[in-house]
Parts: sequence; C-alpha cells; structure tokens
Amino acid sequence: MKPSSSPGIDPKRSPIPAKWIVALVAVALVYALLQPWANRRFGWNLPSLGQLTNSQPSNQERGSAHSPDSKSFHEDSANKDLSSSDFTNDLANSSRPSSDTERTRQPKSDSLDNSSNASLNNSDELSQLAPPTNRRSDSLNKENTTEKVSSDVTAGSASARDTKPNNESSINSSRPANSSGPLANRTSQKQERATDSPYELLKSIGSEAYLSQAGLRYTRGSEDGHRIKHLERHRSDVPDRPGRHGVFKGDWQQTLKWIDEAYSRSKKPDRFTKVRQEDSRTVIETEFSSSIGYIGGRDGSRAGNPSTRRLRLVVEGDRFITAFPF
Amino acid sequence: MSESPVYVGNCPVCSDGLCKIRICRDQIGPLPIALCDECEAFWFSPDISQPPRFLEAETGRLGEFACSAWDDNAHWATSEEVAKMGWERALQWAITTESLKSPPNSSP
Repeated sequence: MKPSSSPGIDPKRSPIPAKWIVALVAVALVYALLQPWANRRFGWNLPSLGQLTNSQPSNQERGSAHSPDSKSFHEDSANKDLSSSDFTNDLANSSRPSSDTERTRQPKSDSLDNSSNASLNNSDELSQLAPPTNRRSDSLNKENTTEKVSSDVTAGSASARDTKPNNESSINSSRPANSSGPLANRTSQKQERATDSPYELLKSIGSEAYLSQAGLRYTRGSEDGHRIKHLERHRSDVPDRPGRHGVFKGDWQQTLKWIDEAYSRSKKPDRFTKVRQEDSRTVIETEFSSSIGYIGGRDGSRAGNPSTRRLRLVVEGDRFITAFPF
Repeated sequence: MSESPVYVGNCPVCSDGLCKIRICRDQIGPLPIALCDECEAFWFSPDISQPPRFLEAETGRLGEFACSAWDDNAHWATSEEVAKMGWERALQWAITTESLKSPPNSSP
C-alpha cells in the first residue's frame, strides 16, 4: 500500500510541517489572549482573530461606506473635532467655525478693500435675512462669537498702538483644523455670510436692542430706524454728500471691534483718546495704530479719499448714537 | 436715503454731521429745526452756534414737544420751504461756504 492512500495528513507530503502548524496555533492563541489586554493597555486598535479571518469583507464594507463620498468623511471629522453631542455640533457648525473662518479672512482685508466693500454692499441682504426682531433665538451663537471679539479687543487694549497685529495673531491661532474639502468650503461660505451680520455679532437683549462685548447698546433710533442701520451708512461712501463722510473698511466684526475699543478707551485715561461731554451726548475721539477706513463724501473725494486711523464715537451713556472714521 | 442739499453747516458737536433743516409737526403745526444727521443735535433756529439740544435717543422726540423728528409727517425741508420760513439767509451762508470750499471747476 502506498502511504498516499491512507486517510489523514501525510507528514512527508504536507506542504507545512506539523511543528509549524502547532507553532502557528500557539501564536494565534497567545495573540487571542493578549489582543484585548494590549488594546486596553496601550490604546492600540489590534483586530481580534475573528476580524482578522474576516478582514477582506470588512475592509470592503468600510471602503464602500466612506471612500467614494468625501462628504461623510468631512462630516465625521468635523463632528469629532468640534464636540461630542449632537446639540453642540449644531451650534458649533452654525457659529464657531464660521466666525473663525471670518477672522482668518480679516488680515486680507487691507489688501482686498474692494472685495470686502463688495461684500459689505450685501449687508442689506444680511439684515433682511436677520431682522432685529427675529434674532433672540440666535443669542447662543452670538454669545460664542462676541466672547471671542472681547478677547481680541482686550488683547488689543493692552497695547493701544499694537491693536491690529495682536488681533491678527489671535485670529490665526483659532483656525479650525478641518477647514478643507468641498463640503467644508460650501458650509463656511454660508456661515461667513451669516456671521458677518451685526445682529449675529452682537448679543440680543430684547426690544430690538443689542449689546456689544464692551457694554455698548445698539438700540432703535435715528432716521434709519435703528442705530445699526445708521452705522451701516458708514460702511460705504456717499460721494455726493456735502462735506466729509467717514467710511469704515473691513467687515462688520472689525467695525464693531473698533467701536468697542474706542468705548473701552473712553472709560479710562488714554493718551490717544479724547472725551468730550455735550449735554447728554459724549463725543469720543480716538486714534488707532493703523488705518480703520477713509474719508469719503465730496470733501474726501476732493482730497483723494485719504485713509484715516481716527474714529469718532458719539454715545449717550452706554447707548450708541453714531461712529465714523474722521 | 437721498441726501438733502438743504443744510446750514457742519455740526459743531460731531463735526462731520450736516445740520439739515427738518420740518417736524406737533399739534400746533410745523416745527422746523436744524438737525444734525449724525449725532442728532438740534436747534430751533438756523443759528447753530448756539448750544444744541439733542433728540431723545430712541424715539427722536424733541424734548418737551409732543412730536418726533422721525414721525411719518416730518420731512427734510426743500429750499422753497426754507425760504418760506425765512431761514434762507442761513441756507445761503451754507451754500456759499460749500462753494468756497469747492475748486472753481468742480462746483456741483
């Protein structure tokens, strides 16, 4: 009889020697025993024996779920980065990343005055999207944003002449990690538009009143119906206006920050700030370390629209009346 | 908002505001004032060298008068209305000052 006719494994004809099979089984047993412990102890993610034996189908499943659609990957990573709960994710996705994105856009505003002015011309659309009476529900988002504005202003006031560089550094440091990808771009564009509304940047305190981080109240009033609407007039030139017409450069966030800074400076002695009382109104004039806008109107046009670092703010107590570069 | 050319000078309070003529209306009748379009300082005459008063910040009310500068029946005065009020001398002064500031070939 030939050995090949007998049942079982013929040690001579088997491709793997029996001792290797025993060794492999032993290694597998040791791995099965140590794998959970190693994962716990070192934070590894070693697959179990069962996963290893089914590794091919498992990988295919993962690939079909994630790789063709980068959206879900970005969404997953965004959710991981921002917070753990769904509620907080909603808040974070709707406010914080956009404000950070907005900040990262700010340093470009000096060299992109034209483009920023173009976006400022859309502020009517923004205020229609965000009418004062419908803003109370957004107060959570505003608080998040204004907190950041405050920290920037505080950093700026530490050295009045270095306001802008300080702000820029703090802006860049708060950039979110997940700001790439088609979905992220689309989302951040929408959020930029929403976040540069003054009604989002200020905190609603009811009765169409809004509070800045420095404690300045923007209320109803003026021919425009609301102080914010009046301030909006100083975000674009009125070339036919007789005399001068100060125009802020940059976005709403920057404008409100400058105004807050001027108001804060008026509360304490400051060598760059003059405060004058005119009956119930207080006129605050201050100078920043870099340009905040330019002089428009007929006089400004005749002078070639010179840029200016000076801001004049008129308040009544803590109530904003008007502000403009001069 | 269209800019009214009828003004009597730059505001002595905030400098860049224009003191325009606003015709308000209370129960008695028209009540013209010179009103700064920035800080809302106002005068009951075109002589803005006098100490100003200020509109009530939220309502635009003129002090003790039962009317607001922002009432629907208030409006910026036309030059004809200013002439009828006898305030044209102040207006003429403003126009002259403006033209003096303008270069000869760029006068509007």
